[in-house]
Amino acid sequence: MLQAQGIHISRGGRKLINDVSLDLSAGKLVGLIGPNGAGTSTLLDVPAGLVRADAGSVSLHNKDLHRIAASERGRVLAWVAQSGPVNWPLTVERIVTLGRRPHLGTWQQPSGEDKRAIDAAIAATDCEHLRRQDATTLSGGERTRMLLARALAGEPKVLLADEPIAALDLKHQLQTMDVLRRFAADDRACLVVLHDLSLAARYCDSLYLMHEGSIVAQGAPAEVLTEHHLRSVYEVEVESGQGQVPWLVAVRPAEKSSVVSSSTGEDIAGR
Amino acid sequence: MASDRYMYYWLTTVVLVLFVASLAIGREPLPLLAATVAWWQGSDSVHAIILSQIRLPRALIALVAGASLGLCGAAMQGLLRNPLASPGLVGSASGAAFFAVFVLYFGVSATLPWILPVAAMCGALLATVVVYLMAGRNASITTLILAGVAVNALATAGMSLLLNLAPSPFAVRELVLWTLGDITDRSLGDLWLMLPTTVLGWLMLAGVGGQLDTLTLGERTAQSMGIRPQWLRWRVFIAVSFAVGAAVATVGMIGFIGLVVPHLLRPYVGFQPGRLLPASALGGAAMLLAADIGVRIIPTDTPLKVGVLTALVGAPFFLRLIVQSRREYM
Repeated sequence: MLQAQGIHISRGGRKLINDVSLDLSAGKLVGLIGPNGAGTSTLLDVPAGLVRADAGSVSLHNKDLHRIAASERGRVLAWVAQSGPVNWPLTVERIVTLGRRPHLGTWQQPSGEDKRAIDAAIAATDCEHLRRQDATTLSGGERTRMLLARALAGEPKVLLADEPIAALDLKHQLQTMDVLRRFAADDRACLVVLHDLSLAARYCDSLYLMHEGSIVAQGAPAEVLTEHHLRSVYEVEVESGQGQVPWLVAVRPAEKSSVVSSSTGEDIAGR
Repeated sequence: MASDRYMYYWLTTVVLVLFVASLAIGREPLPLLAATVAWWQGSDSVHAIILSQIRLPRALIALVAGASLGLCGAAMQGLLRNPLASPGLVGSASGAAFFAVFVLYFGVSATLPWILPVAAMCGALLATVVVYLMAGRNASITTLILAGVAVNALATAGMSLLLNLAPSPFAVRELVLWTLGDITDRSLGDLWLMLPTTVLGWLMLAGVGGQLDTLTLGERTAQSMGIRPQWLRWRVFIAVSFAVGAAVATVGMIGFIGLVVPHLLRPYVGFQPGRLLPASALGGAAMLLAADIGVRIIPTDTPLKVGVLTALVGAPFFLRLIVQSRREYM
């Protein structure tokens, strides 16, 4: 339902995204992984309508994203910022209610149906006890969950989440991944930027591994998260296993000399 | 929500009471009922004339100008997501004042009364456009504010130059008094002159509430939700220069209403920028009506100007606001 073809983005003479294509089909939870500066967040900005690619095209439901009105895009697609600001001390409930805004006319107040969506989003993200709290006093993790609830309240078809679990404790990491997993069913899909590779392996249907603005591997988690890829892209030695749940631990930084080639066959360490 | 519906009732009542009080209170206390009846019957009694020619225009202008200042303050604070923002921030107020003083200086407005508000509005618009162009299309809020400071400084310098070059002490006095902000000796004609652009500004601001609410989550998130922040900026800036330009043209520089009123009312609307707009319009009207009654009640040898009173009350409040926000961030 969301396709990107040959995306290029450069800023200030630096290539941020280099010929990236990706495909997000209905019912899929797709992970976008890569070390710091790989371009995962920048790539997510393109379908979110925040950044216009210098070249390439993005289509949503087989329609060019630029031909879709911004308001329509806001109803179909939701983007959750990595650490979005909250500028006024609104209550958590009112922040989540903002997620309904794309569905409401200028003068329209949230109706019963809107309230149901809001309640469901608050329940799914475990924010019920925070409802009446001032949103600016939340902890980092609580705030992330609230912002995810805001996005879910809009009942989008495509969810773009930028590191939604980075600030969360273990329980809420799992809960949030469960929420994303449940979201990505039927006619909905989710593209999520993750740093936790174990959770990426465990929850995602497929992964895109980015390095220096390019996609260097894609496919099922087991195909992407190979020792070879992790050594060349993340520059770490890993140990992993397939128990009840797949796990993966970085053991130590890779020796420079062993970081020789990526899947594209280029010498990454030498660039 | 029910709780803030009561607040609207309250504010509306306060505005009505102050409006009636503004008609009744003055050097010549008016028996309102008798004066209204006399006016209605078309009598030429002194009371009827005071009511229709002096008090009514004064109260109506205070109502309209106050509402504009309150509304525009709330809109600017919502747009810039900063409780210290005011309608004057993007240069519209000082731009309007500079052009108005310019017109007064050359005495054109004596022959063509409509020149003054039109010039003030042009000044407000021009200042806003210059700020916007200086800051650039994708300017950060800090850049916009800095550009506003620069344009404000330029307009103030222009006014100083005119005062400096003024041919006689009387001209200086007239110009200075005008910049202080004053609603005395206004006619219904002045009201009709300010009304069209004022209403245009109000209409442009009507309906931005939901977008300002969404902006609470930052410009990027708002944009991802389908709002175009650049358009919203233009719309608010231009609306503010229309409404504030008209207000400044008619009553001169009246500060602090646009700053103080939204801040006072914000907790009562759950800090939601959209719902703050109508509340602030009512609050601004109430505050300017009250200040204008205040200058009539406070006994001074030379009549006190309303802009001086709002500044005297507003400036300490502004200081408190800064101290408060310093405490929050440290």
